[in-house]
Amino acid sequence: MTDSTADPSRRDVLRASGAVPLGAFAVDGTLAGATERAVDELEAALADVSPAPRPASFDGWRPGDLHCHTVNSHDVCADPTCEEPWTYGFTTAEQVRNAELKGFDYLAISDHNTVAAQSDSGYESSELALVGGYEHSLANGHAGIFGVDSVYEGPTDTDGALASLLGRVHADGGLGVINHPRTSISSVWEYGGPVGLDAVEVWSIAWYLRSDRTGLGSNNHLALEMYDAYLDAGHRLAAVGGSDSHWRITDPVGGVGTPTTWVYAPSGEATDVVDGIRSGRTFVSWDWNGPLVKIEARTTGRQYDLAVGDLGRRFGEHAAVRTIVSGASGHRVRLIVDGILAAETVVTTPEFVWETTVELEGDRPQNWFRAEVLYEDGATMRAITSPVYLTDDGRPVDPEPVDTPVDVPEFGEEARPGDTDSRCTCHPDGLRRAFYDR
Amino acid sequence: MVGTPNRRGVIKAAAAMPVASLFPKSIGSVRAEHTDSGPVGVHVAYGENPQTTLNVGWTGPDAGSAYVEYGPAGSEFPFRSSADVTSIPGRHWFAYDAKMNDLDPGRPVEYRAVLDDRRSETFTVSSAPTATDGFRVTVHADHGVEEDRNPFSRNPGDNARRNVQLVDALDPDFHICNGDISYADGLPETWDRYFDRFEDFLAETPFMTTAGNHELEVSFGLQQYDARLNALMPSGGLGSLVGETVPDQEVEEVLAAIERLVGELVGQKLEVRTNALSDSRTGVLVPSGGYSLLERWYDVRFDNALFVGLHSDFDPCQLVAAGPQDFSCPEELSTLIQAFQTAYLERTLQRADADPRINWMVPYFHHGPWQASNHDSRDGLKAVWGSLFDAYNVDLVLLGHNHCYQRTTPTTGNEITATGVTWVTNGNGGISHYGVDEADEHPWLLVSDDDHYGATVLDIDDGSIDVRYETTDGKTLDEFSIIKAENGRPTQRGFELDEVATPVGLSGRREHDASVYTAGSASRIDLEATAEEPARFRDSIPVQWSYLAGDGEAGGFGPEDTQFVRFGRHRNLESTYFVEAPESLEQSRAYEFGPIEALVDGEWTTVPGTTRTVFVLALDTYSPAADRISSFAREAGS
Repeated sequence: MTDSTADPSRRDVLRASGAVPLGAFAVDGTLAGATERAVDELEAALADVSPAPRPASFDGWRPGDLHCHTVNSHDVCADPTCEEPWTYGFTTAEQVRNAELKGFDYLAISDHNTVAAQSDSGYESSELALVGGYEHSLANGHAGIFGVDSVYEGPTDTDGALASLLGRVHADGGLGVINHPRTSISSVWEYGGPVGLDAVEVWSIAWYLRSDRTGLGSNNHLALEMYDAYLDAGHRLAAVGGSDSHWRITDPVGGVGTPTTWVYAPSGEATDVVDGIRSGRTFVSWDWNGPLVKIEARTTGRQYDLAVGDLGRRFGEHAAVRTIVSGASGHRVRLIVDGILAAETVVTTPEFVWETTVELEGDRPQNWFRAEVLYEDGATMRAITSPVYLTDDGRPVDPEPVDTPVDVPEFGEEARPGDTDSRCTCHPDGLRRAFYDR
Repeated sequence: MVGTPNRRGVIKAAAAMPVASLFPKSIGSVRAEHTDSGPVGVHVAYGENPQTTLNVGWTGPDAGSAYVEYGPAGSEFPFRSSADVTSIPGRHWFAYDAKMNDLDPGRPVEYRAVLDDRRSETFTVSSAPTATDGFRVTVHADHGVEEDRNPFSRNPGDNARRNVQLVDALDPDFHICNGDISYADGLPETWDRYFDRFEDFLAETPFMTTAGNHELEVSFGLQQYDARLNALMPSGGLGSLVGETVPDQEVEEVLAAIERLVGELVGQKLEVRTNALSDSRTGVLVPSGGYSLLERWYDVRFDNALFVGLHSDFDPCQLVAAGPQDFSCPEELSTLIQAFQTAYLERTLQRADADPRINWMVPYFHHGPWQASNHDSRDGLKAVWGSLFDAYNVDLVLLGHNHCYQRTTPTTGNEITATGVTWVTNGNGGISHYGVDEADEHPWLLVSDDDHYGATVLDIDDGSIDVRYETTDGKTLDEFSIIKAENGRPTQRGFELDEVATPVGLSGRREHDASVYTAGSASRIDLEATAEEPARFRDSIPVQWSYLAGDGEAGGFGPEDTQFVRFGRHRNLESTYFVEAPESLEQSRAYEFGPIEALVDGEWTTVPGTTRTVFVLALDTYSPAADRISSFAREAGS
């Protein structure tokens, strides 16, 4: 399944699930009025969502969005059957302005199979870095291709074919992201592993859109489960997010930056952002205000010398992990070690530092650990980091084959064993409450 | 008898009132009729220096002048010392305390308590002598007074009186009541009744106490314990922080902040009494809510022994949480109180250990570890205070709270050892009995009794502390002696380690340069450990601390937030190293160090008695904590 104007279900479902706010249709009461809505009106609308100041401990971390669309995408329209494609979205200039207003340091516009935005007159900013790229409709999934200024042609119907295409992307200094791998709205990832891609979009659109509860959804909890399975197999992949914003909305759900992907890119240049993602130095947060989270680790000695994305040497049966969380008082923070919830604590202060030790299983090719920040309900994700990795000799391992389920659940279906969200008791009402309470 | 000026008449009048009228609203009118009563419930305790100071306490109506008059026997009271006065909550009734100073050591003093022209009987009591051929102390806890009108509490029937009769007959130099004294649970009349009933004994035997949970007054903390007893005890002081580098002023600021916050908690939640305690001893520690928070700890040196009274309830939240609303209370307050008391304890034991005049050290407090029952064993205190007892060769620890008698083997840390601290619980003061588990479940439990009421008797001379447990029905159910072993450590005479399950042949000790540190300060740690065969040793420090330098080598991490310091192979490890406390600390908190472990037959094995809990104060970052705590207080008040 690929995005197409002949596929109305996506919009219906998103609308039904609340991802398309009713306000989208309420501007002037007409569609025409909505499409002509001026950016200065949006600026006014954004006045009360200006970004919070960032703490010094996150210097060099750059907020932005790797997944948004403009009127250059064929499925940007307002009516259920998309009889007017390329209409009800932001222009390139408007989308860039949205990102500026939210205090982004970078933005990647990822229209479907086109880099046309890069030629638009509005494709420029003095406030943020524009990362070139597009969303590639593959034979068996979608991929974000970044750090490039053209679309890569070629077959993608097998793992080998895709790997070969990615080889060309890498040779040109670009990278690939597995987009919404367990979505029931668009196209699931059906390849036999990451096949040379560099990152996984573990958080697409709103966290709580899951098909068993809201009919259709991005099933981020299953994306995370797939991601963990890849890490367990010995892969090293950055965790990224994407708003997949298609329409003229700036709301907390669906506008750019919901969620926000933070990349460690000291210079803030677009190439630095791409390097940061390739190195795994990322975390994803609810929106551009955070919460902010990062982990650092050491296996011996006094210095926390491993940051997210780093591969270090195992030493003994434990590692020390320092988790730094900003702007999440009252939240829970968890350490996931080799796919297991290994430690959890409550964030008690606005700038929170948690030092703990975690046990490592010795018989794995690669140990990995990452942090999650959740609302106090223990169910609603608020931020996810990429992992730190450890191996016996500090060198990468050859990944093992991955066996992870591809199916996405039907509405009302019971969560299956291993469903990451079933670690806690969650309820759709709880999730919704958490969303509206923010 | 109502309306007579006789002080006993007052007590009886109060006792005759219906229960409802005993509560604060009506209390005032009950007592107002008795403004001409004389001093009631006289009792006496050792003051700052037991050889020269005795403090006298009593209660009574308001008076133009209140004092104690005293002097040598037959001298017609040549000396006079005026009393401090504290209002008893909710009543026109007051607690008085006055110091008899400049006494001759070991000589009897005759004294009377005076309110205007009304005098108590004449009592005789002796100050502590400079030296003895031996002396006697009696101890019990969980006592009570025959009382069927206190709706909050229990009635010991005649058991409490018989226990006083027992200890009176034993004629101790002084008596310790180790918490849960009157079982007033806040009701002033029960306190009055207690002191009145036992006045003949308490006015003539120095009465040293610690606060237990039944000294708590619902919603008012320990006002009455503080006014009636704590005010009489010596002042312990605040102890020292690491290297004494923290200016007193800074420490006082923190204490003032704690005091303010607790006052706020109490004040926000409850009707605040206007009668603030006048606590001249501690100055900064008197909150406006009529609630004194800190410093219920002190030490008394008697001849060759040091007795240390401690307060084992550090939780100020417990004091206010008993009110009508639920609310959350910041944990940090308990941590801070515990930290200051532990700093005091360490300094006191350190000095006593180095003092050649002191042969024996006997700390006592209400709640403790080593309890062979499921009633509230405070095993966490082993690492906090027990580690200090191990480090400074404390001989005997006295506990209450569990209504039974229990004697342990010598212990070190969490283990039974050939030499070490003996812990004796005696909660058989009279109020009731709790069960004790079978001894075979607790190899450390040598003797227990939950069938009788009685007192622990300590006969102390240079060679031993002879301990007996005497019951009110004339039995001696335990008898043993604490002596010093060849290594200078205490043990029980005749105790053989083989009698009980023994750990592997590892021994050791750890010393830190302090118990309380400020964020970012360096700490020196000295370790000793011995194994039968040379073995690799390692120590555990919290992951939040940094290894700085020394004989060890930082390396690797363990479970429960620990990191290892490694020392290579030794038979006798003697090593010193330095660590740094965490710098960016948002909250004051406790950290656990140790144990030392040795690699024996391929297994890392614990060296007994080598764990230690220390505290780090977030002094620099206290303001955010204060804000946070204030917001708790606001929530509590809303």
